[in-house]
Formats: sequence, structure tokens, C-alpha cells
Amino acid sequence: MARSTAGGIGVSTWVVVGDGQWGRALARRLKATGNLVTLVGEVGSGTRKPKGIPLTRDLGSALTAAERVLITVPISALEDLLRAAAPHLRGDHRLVTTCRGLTPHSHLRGIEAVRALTAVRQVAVVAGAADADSLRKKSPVALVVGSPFALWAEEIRDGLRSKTLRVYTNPDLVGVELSNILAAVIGVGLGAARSLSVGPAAEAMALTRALAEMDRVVRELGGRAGTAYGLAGLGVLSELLFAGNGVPLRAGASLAKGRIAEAAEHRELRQAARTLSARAARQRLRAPLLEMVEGMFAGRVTAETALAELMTRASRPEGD
Amino acid sequence: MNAPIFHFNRHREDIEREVTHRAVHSFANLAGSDPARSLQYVLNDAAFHEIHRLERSRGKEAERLSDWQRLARRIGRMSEPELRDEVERRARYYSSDVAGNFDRRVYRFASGVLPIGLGALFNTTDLAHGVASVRNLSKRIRVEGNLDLVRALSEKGTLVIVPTHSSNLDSIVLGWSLVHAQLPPCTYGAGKNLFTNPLIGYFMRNLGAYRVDRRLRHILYKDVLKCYSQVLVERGYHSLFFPGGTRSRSGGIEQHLKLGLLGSALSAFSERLLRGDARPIYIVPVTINYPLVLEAETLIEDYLKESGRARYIIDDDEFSRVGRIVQYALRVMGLETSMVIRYGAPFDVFGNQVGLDGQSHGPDGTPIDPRRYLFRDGEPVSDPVRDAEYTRQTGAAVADAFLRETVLLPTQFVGWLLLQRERRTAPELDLFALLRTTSGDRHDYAEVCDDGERLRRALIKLEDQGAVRLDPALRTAPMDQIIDDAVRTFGMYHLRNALERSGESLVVSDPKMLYFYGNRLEPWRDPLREALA
Repeated sequence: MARSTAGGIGVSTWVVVGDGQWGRALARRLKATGNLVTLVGEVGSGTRKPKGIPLTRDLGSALTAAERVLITVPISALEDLLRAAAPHLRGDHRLVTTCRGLTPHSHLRGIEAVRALTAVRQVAVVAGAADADSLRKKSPVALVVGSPFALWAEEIRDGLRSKTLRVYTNPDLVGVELSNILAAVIGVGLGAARSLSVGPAAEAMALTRALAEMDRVVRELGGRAGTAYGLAGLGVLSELLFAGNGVPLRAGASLAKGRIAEAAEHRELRQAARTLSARAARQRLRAPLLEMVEGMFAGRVTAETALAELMTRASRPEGD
Repeated sequence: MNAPIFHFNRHREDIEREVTHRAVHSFANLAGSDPARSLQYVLNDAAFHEIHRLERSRGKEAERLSDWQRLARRIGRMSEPELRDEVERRARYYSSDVAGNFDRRVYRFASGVLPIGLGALFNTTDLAHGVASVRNLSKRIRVEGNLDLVRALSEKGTLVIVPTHSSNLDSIVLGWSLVHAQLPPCTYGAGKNLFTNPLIGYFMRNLGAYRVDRRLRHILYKDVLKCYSQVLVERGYHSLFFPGGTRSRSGGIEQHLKLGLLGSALSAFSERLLRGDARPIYIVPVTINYPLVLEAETLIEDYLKESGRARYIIDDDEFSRVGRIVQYALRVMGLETSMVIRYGAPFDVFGNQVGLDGQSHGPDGTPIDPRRYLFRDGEPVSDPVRDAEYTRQTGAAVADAFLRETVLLPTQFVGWLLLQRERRTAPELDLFALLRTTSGDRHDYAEVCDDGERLRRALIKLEDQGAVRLDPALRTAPMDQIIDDAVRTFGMYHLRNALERSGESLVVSDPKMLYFYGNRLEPWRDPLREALA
């Protein structure tokens, strides 16, 4: 827990929970910037252990020894993890997650779940288009840290950044987290459109309207205007389109081909579509793309019908 | 009971000195590293606002104009020590103006006489049966909630009571509820305009209330005020803030809270910690639920006016007219429904629930040491951005508690129901058109009862989920009885009946009143509208 300083550089202790590719990649980054890191995961699970980073299954002891916590487990495992962690978390713990989506049981954003299940108050979320592979290859990429706790956001930024990884901070935590989820859900719609071979002009139209919708939904659900145009929203969405093979695009392609059961295997996407669409409806928000994605997952509309409905809606001024 | 406020007068001068010192100290760094520039800025800001205000004032107040004008001309030529002296002199004046007083004899007298006064106010029929029966106010004002817990915590730390705010009667009935629940008296800030009422002003002046002059908008005054409230909490005086800032104009439950005073609770906790004082501070949300609101007519008019939101201080409402207060008392005497003051579950300044032992707990029940929220690498660290976000989160916890602890009453239930029926009949009308055109509309009584049953079922479901609370009558009484009770209650005090019974119909007479009372149910409008669809 103590922070020692040598030559003006602080050495902080971190615990990274989740030893998947992303967890290990971020643990390596933290170690590279001079931090003491412990990785919590399945010891001896066969995956390559990062050099110089102790790996343990003892979550409680790891949390007791560090006040900086990075959670990289999938959103589907988050609630169980938080329940296990809660007895060991203190007021001085600062927590950041990379979880994207809504929790399966309570339908909460990752940070909402942290607040509901633990006593931790200083929270942050990391989002953006970068992945473990790009970090490993040292490709030039960027991430955004969303947190209203400026010092904590800066600490995460300084812990992760490198010559090839730029890290931005944004006080709009809700906006960053929502944009990240919305980008994935709306990516399903773009995947369906691409599968219908609509062409680049139509994809460009879909992308611009998707951004306008994301910005509107983010603002109305508690985030700030403009956050959707950052790394967590536009960044994720454009990476999906450029790469052309992400999970949301594949789910969209399955829906376009009428293979609903295959698309529904991506439960986190289907559930996020359903929950966000319901929240938008409750707030009387215009969210046609969300509605169409939800409708396709539910089997109420086909991709062709969805496209036709979207094209024949009443026109509005572009900025409306 | 040995509440800290009983010894207030002994420490008053010391408190004023500390407030003045802190205010001056905090200003020295306001505009960067140059203290002279900071102090100039503070004085210029105060002079600008005061000259602007006093130029529009008359009488004794206007005499102060020339003093501020002289100061405004001198500020640019003053040396740093002169600037500091000037800021200190004015901060001292304001802290002395703000500071309250506590007279134990007045408290003893008020504790005895308040139940009689309020008894007369809320149930004058009992006067016929003698004073003793009047004192049984618990029939008229129901005090409920986590009282044992709040009492226990008042012994272990400092309470910061944060109630909803509907009426200028709030501080009076809340004061009674503290006595009734055997809770210690609190200090609280009250608008200076309220001190002008000779009787109420006398009691407020001598029962620890401090004066808040809302006309003063400059940072010098605001900082002195904030310092004063913080120093009181720091020194262990149980305090009361209205986090809504002002009375709810719409009749709705406050959700946009002023965080400044809540922030001073956290600052006080932090300051105590740095001094090695480990006493906890507890936030106690309270809802005050009136079947009839004394100033309802003025408040809703003010809300509906375009300029209403800007009219922060109303000094010509029903509370300022003794006749209306008496009328309120006389008309309310036959009410079936009690006013309800509900004390919610207390939490620490970070929003964690607190147990009988005074210990904070996380959502899973794990004991939490709240001091650790201010730690970084094992030591308490000052971080204003962090603390502002903590305060925002605690404000959200208070706002949530206001919803959960609100007790819905028949007037509010029937107000929302009738206005919803009107909306359904004319969905194309906006609110203002609806309020303008619905007077005289008739509703079939049996249909209203049917809708009422559906609405009640939805509310019971919400209550079972812990989202809100219902007055027992609302939960169990026959629907026609609830509606008749609400109609009778509306008709007892307001200048125009909100609603009248005419044969087998209910006739809307004053839709604004229905809107005002019905706004209490608005936070749950989606599931409630669904139930009526």
C-alpha cells in the first residue's frame, strides 16, 4: 500500500484482476511504467504468464495489498467478481474497469455495478479501439480513461501510456461507458447493413446517423454532448468498420441472413440492445438504430425491413 | 439530553473569529499566487454586487451605498495589508451578522409551548377539550422512520439533517419533531426575511438559527456563510440544511440539490480528520409530507411564471400574512389525514449506510472506515476535485432517499390521478394549455374510482419494491373514501377548491392545485401511466 519514491518517480502497487489477453497486456504496461503489479487469475491455466508479474488466485490478499485495482474480466463475470471482492475493498481503493456492456442479472453498466455492490467510490473506465494484439505488436493506438476523479484518471494514464499507446482522459465517465456500449450495439446494425451489400455511400450515411443517435442517447442517459465522438464511441465504431471482422459486425451479418439464434449467442450484445432500447423508450428518445437492432435480435424485423423503415422515416434537420 | 448547542453562546465569539480567519485565509489564494490580486478581486466583487443591489434599495439599507462606493474607488490604490484589513473587517461584520444565538430558557419554553402552538395550528377543535388534549400532536403530525437509529447516532457523532422543503412551516414542524422524537436540537440557516416576523423571529434568533441573507450574492458573503456552517459541523453542532435550497415551487420532490452545504459536511469531516478528530458525521435525509401546503397557491403561481425560477426570495406569500396562517390552522382542523415527517436511514458523508453502533457499512454489510476515502497511499490527502465528486455522489444518495422516504397522501394521489385523466382526454395540449382550459371539466365518479384502484395497485407494487411509501389510508381505505377525503381536504383551506363533488361527478375547479399536489407522484409517472393505460 505504501508508495515509495525513488529519484522522483513513484512506484505504485496495482492489482490486475483477470488474466485474459487484455489483462496480461495491461499488466505488462503497468509494470513497464515502473509499478508493482500482481495479476489475479487462474494459476497454471496454460496461458503464458507475463514475466516478472506474480500471478495469484488469492483475490482477497491481492486487494488487501494494493489500492489501485484494474478489472479486465468480461462484463458477464463482473457481478460475481465484485461480490467476491466487496469484503476486501476499502474506501481508499481506486478501481478501473475495461468491461463493456451491461451485466447479465441487473442490466447495469460496469461502473453502476461497482457502485451497487461495493464501497468503492473512486472509479474509472478504460475504453477505445486498442486491443491486446495492437499493444503486443506496438502498433500506434489510443485509449480513453473516463473518470470524474482527475488524479485517478491521470494515474491510470501515466501507468498505461507508452511511445505507441496514447491515453486520453475524459471526466465524463457515464458518456465514455455508454458510448463504448452503444458503439458495439449499433455496430450490429452496421454489420447487418454491410451484409446486405449496401455500398460505401450507404455505410457512410449509417455511420453519421449512428453517431448522431449515440450522441443523443448518451446526453439523455446522463453523459455529455460530444463524448460519443471520441475514442469510446466513434473510435470503436470506425475500428469495427475498418477491420470488418469484429463480433458486432459478425452478429449483424448473422441477423441479416436470418440466423437469429447464431446472432443471439452474443448474449451481451442482444441484452445491451434490449436494455438500452427500453431505457431510450422510457425517456422518449429517438433511437431508431437501437430499436432496429433490438427488433432484429427479437425476430420482429428483418434486416431488409429495418433498412426500408429507416430510409422512409420522416426527414429532420441534420442537427436535430 | 446534553446537546452541543446548549453551550453555543459560550463559544460564539470564538466561532466568529475562526470563520473570519478562515475566510480571509482562503481568499488570499483565490486568484493565483498574488494575494493582493486575490483580495482586490474579492473586494471588487463585493462592491460591485452591493452597489448594484443598494442602488435599488430604499431606507436604512440605502445608507450603506456610499460606504461601498467609497471602497470601490479606493480598492485599486490599497496596499496588500490594507486590502487584508478591509477583507477581514467585512468578513468579521458578516460572520457576526450570520451567527445565531441559543438561549436555553427560550428552548425550554419553546419545547413546552410549541406543541400547544402547533396543536392549535393543526387541530384547533381540540382546544374545546382543554390544553392537555391539544398537546397530543402525534395525531396531527406523525413522526416516523429510523428514529432509534438517529437517536443512537446523535450520541456518537454529528447529525446533518437534510429535509425536503415545501413550506416556511418546515423548520417549525421539524423542530417539533426533534423534541417529540427526543432528538437533540439543531442549528440551521434561515432566510433573513423570516426573522422579520416578530414572534417567529424571536424564537428563531434564540434557538440557534443563523441568518442567511439571500440578497447578498458576492463571494465574500457566500464564503463566510459556508465557513460558518462548516465550522459548526466541525465543532459537533447538529445541523440542518435544506439541500433543495428553497421551497419546492412545483410541489414535486426535490431532485436537483444544492451541493454547497452538503459539501461543507464533507469538508468538516475532512478538516476533523486532519486535526486527528475521529468523530463521525451522519447525513439524515428527512421528508416532510403535507396533505395541504400553506403557500401552495403562491408557490405554483411562481413556478408557472416564466420568471418564477428567478424569484428566489418570496417575501409576500401566505407565510408573511398572519391571517393566512390562522386561516390555514382553522381550516385544517378537521383533516383526517396527518402530516408525516419521516426520518430516513442515515448515511455517512460518502453515502454508506450506518448501523446502530455508528459504524459505516458497504452494500454487502462489510464494515467500512469512512476516513479511508480521504487516504492516498496510507495518508489523508487533500483533493478538491475528488471531494467535489464525492459530494455529488452523496447528493445523489440524498435525492434517492427523498424518493424512497416520501409518504404519498390522498391529496397528492387524487391530484395526480385527475390531471392524468385530463392529459389523456387532451393529449395534444401542453401543460399550460391544459391548466388554462380544464377548469370546469367533469369526471365520472365511478370511473375515477376505477382508475384510482389501478393507480393504487401500481403504487403498492412500487412500495413493495421499496421505491416509495404510502399513507396507510391510501393503501387500505375504500377508494371512494380516499377520493372524498382528498376533495374535503382541498376544500378546507385553499381559496378555490381544487376539486368538487357534484352528484355522480367530480368537477375540476383549480387544475393548478391538482398539478401542484400531483407533482409529488411525478418521479414514478412511467409505471403509473402504464397502469392507467
